[in-house]
Amino acid sequence: MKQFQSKRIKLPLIIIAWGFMALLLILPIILVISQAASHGLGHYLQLLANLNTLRAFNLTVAATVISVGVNLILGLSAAWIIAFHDFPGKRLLNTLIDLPLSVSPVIVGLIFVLTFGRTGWLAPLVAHFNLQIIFAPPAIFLVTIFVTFPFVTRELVPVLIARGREEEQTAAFLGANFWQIFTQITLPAIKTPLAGGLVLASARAMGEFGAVAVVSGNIVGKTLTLPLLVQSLYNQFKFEDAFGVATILLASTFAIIYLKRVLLKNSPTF
Amino acid sequence: MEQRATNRLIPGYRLGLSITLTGLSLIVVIPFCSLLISGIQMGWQPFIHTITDSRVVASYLVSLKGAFSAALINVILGLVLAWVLTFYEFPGKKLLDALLDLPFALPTAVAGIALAFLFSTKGWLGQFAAQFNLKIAYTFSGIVIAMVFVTIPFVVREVQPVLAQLDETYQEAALTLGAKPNLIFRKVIFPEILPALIAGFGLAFARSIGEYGSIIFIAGNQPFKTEITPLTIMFKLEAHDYNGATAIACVMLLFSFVFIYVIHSLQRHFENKRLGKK
Amino acid sequence: MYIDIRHISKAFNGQSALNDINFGVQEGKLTALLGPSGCGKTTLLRVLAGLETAGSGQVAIAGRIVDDIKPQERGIGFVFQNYALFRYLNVYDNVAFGLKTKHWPAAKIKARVQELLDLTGLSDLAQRYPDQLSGGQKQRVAFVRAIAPNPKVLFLDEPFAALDSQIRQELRIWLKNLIHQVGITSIFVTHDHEEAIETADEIVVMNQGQIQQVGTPLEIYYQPQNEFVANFIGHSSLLKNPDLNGYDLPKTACQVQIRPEHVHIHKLSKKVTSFGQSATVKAVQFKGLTTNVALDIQGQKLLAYWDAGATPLGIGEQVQITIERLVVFQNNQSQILKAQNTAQRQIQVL
Repeated sequence: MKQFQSKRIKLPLIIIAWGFMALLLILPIILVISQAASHGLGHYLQLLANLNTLRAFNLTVAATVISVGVNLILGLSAAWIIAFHDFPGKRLLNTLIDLPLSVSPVIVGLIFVLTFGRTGWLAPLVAHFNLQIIFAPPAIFLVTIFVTFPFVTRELVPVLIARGREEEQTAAFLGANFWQIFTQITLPAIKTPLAGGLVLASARAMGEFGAVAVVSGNIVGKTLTLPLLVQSLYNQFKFEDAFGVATILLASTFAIIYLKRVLLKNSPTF
Repeated sequence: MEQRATNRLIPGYRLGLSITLTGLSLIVVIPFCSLLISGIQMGWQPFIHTITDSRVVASYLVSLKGAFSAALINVILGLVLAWVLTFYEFPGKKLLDALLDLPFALPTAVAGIALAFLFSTKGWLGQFAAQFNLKIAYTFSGIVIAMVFVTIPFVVREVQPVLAQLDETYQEAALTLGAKPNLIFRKVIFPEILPALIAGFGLAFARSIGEYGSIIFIAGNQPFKTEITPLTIMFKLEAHDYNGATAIACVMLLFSFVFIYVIHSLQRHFENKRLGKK
Repeated sequence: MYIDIRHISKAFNGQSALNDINFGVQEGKLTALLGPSGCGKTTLLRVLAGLETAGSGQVAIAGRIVDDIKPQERGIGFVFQNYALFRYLNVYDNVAFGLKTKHWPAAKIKARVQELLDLTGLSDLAQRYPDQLSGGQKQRVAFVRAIAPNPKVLFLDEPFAALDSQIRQELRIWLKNLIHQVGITSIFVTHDHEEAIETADEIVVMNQGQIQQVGTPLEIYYQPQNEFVANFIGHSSLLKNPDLNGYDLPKTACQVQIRPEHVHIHKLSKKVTSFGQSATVKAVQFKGLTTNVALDIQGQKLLAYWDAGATPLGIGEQVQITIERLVVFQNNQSQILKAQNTAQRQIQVL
């Protein structure tokens, strides 16, 4: 806009923007890396190869893969019926799908403890099958699925609605079954937003802290995810180790931001 | 209008509905019912007693004040960021835009320890602030900074598309009438972006209220001073006081829903006003 | 009747959208559902296709009642207004899609698709993707794709609405010829009366959820059964209780429809005696081949044509007119009247 291009307006605004971002976003990144490196490369590599780090890494990967996998199926199903079918209670369904976005992570953890914990109302069921859910990986997976639940659907529904139902309807008139329509007509059109939704879900799954902290029980080597391990090391004043483990998460963050920007160029959500 | 079963042309309705409802029930509905059951079982007296406990009430205030300050700061800085990214060309613009994704993608625990370290009295920024006798980490300011960090993108991402769509000719028409930039901003641009600003404020506020991971490292977590409500719930849980945790969680959820409703109404109100004016 | 529609009614949120619709379509015929927007024509087509459920009534296609049969099992080919070509398949695969789903042998699919593409002049475009086609080409592909699996009937929703006027003209004739060549019973929806008259074998005129008239284009044009049809189809003037020389019009309240081509204008000159009707020229609009003339007759507006090559008419000029033919509407009945006296229709030259 021409009238706002004068240097008197432009320069101060750019300086404020850059200054704010540099202080609040760039400095922390530099800090993480420099702290991780403060005890030398040898120490850093040892930390990464440490059994507890590896176990936490595996648990985080498992939680991410499982929640992303479940969300792939759930997100596609929900988007399919919301975009292509009319049924009573659709608004309620939409609200329920968005619900996890507006709940504090700590409350997410709490409701799963209330359900499956020792005093929870499903506790007898859990005991009957001799399952360990709370303070064990299953609870971590469940809360991670919960917090990532809306992402895929929210990316897909607007794309599908903007596209219209006619291609799918035509394919059905031509005798195609569900699988033919989905694989040949719908999937090619939604590949990118679907992948984008999955990337967003992985970001949240990988980094989830509050909800996992409530249900994990913090058993070192068993129920610690990478973010929990970071906290645990930090609380033991092993700062350079905490920041060292944090670099793994930081690297994944950069990968995710890159993928997100490639896949969801035009999407305003994040 | 419901379609008759025979009239669903596109297949996959029953399959999709079954999967969605099963997933939704297991993951969302049943756990929420637990909260409801637990809340009802504890009885009215203990419920009221818990949620009006002075330490708990203090935590509400810390959370509310913190979230409000953070959302307000982000409305101003978010507008500046969105403005700069939409209207100006400058070095590092793409990097700046990409950086805005960081608060969402970066695990909150990493953000939390980095901010705590940065703003502690020995940290790079904390040292600097200490020269002016300012203490940031382990104070209320620390909470606000963490909240600002995690909610930076909300306002920017709401306002950016609106600014980009602002009709250039509309602007120039106003300019030819001799309007100054100042006037154009107040009379033309501001009404256009107001709904987006409100939406961004709402999202940032709601997220700040619930945020946990990035705050606890920098907050200091002193009861009555720097204890946020999610942390109060966490303490109750650690003490195995599930009833107490449930009661506070119910208050938080109720507040969130009412707040989201109010923000939606406000947003719609200003949206209608904007469209009505045109 | 190949398609039989009986007592179809439907309401949306308590408001009637279709009201006791009855008509039939003969095998191999192309029928147009014509009416202004919101008249229920698209809803009716969607009910026939099974995309919407009727509140009551019955639809039979090829002798089979289809009310409880899934849309995809009714033997329908459907062309949507936006054509809905499969964006990620090329023209060949778009056309072959419906054959593959029915597990035709590969050689038969190839032969059928090739035959259809040749028939419609699309062979050169077989490897193109929808994005690379013009509007008219898209429409042809959508049409070919719909008829490829040999459906019993073909439904088209506003098939020409997305095209610009020149291509529209061309495709109307193309579609009409092809449908007759293939011999498929078809129904299409349109709001354009010229399109319906030019393209269809039979027209169903609808308004406010009700059928106004069913008939051939000629019947609809020359024998409108009510004022709505008269007004909606083609250009005409509706006069209230006029007093016209040579016509024995009812003395009670009635409406008279006069098409402009049935109005003859005669310039007043010394050579012409008074006969017919006197009128005043109110407006003249040059249209190329003809000139449209708005006349004032007894305070009412009457449209007529004037030969573009003849001496121009001036605004305010007094003229004599004779009316060859008109339709009278009274008490929901219509009656065609022709000038009683041939003398009325002839120019008397002294």
